[in-house]
Amino acid sequence: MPYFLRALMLACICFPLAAIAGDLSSEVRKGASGPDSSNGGYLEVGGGLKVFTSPFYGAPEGNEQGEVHAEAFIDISARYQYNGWFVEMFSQSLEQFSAGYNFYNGDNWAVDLVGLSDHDEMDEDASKDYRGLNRRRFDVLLGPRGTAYLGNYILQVHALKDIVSTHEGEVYSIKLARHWQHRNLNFHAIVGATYRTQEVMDYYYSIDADEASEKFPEFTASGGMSYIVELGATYPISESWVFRGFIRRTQIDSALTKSPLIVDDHGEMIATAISYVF
Amino acid sequence: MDSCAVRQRSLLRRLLLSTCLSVFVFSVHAQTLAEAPIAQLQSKPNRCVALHQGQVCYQDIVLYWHADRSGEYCIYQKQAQEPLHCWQAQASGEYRYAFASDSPVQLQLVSMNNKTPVAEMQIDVAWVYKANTRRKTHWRLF
Repeated sequence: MPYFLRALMLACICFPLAAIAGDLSSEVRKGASGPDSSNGGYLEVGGGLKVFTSPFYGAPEGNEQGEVHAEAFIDISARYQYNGWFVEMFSQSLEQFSAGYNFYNGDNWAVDLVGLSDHDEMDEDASKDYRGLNRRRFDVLLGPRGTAYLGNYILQVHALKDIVSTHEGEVYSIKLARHWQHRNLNFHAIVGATYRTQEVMDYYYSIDADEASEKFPEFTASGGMSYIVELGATYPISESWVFRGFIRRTQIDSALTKSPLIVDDHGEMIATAISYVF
Repeated sequence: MDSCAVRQRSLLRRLLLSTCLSVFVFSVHAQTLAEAPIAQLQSKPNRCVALHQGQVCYQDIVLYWHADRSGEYCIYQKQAQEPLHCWQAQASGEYRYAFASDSPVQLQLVSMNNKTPVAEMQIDVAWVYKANTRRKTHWRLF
């Protein structure tokens, strides 16, 4: 079945009726209960600290199974929207940067066309660990994103396809988020599942014959699922300062751990940040 | 001669009566003025910040007041029937108020001797994210 037919079917199943919605991770942290179609934007800038384990070889450089890394990071949450066109960036998000156009608004849900990058570049410049491997370029995916606000729940689906001929693959994801208020503390939870087609997984995690070595034996990756679970809290320190913290676990397909470029079947992250809201 | 004396006595009586009346009215007025104490009602903090507009905002607030004389005083949430707290024979007081509201709340210090509000103040509610999840202010850096 062609990609756009599958994307349309997914959108119709999840959003039988159709508001401008934003990034799920950002929306649920704000305790959003509905979409916003107004022009304008917001900007938050702050600093944070994250402690994490990574399932990826070479990311960060020298990464080993179960190794705990600590990094300071600049926490940016920004969105600007004009006549339906929008760009958004949220460093604590699963998508990080998206740009697109809102083409349908309802009272409690929205359908956007979004473009984003699902995978970073993998080459010697990104990490010395990739020396000897063919360069794997970052991808640019485009497709519909549907967001529904159901009381304290937010549901978001993506159906994306590579448009820059990086791997010609597709990525489908569904995420459900919920927020709770306890006094002025806002808790959130996100669960999600993502399916990446064989083209995506093969491009990034297979080892072709021409690059295979003792360190990187030949390997062919197949399409597979990954899952995320996240719990977090947001607290308004004042009208302009916000504290955020979360703990996240990402589980990847166990079959993928046979790839020389994967060191574990999961990664975890604990992050905290304080941001100024302009 | 007699009628002249009678007229003078009558005039004197009227003058005396009006003087007495004036003194009485003045003393009553002075007493009323004296019964309205001068008081102040303050809080720390005086605003509550929640994350998103529409959410109920929670804040432990210390209310403190003082008046220029002792008496029975109560703090009321404006238009509420029941007081938050009352004091007997006090000229000052402090009260820990568990604020929980999605809109500003007005408080009054009422002198219970004459049931008159003698001081009032407002606790404001603010949000980080204004209506409908997004701040209406425009992009400031670009």
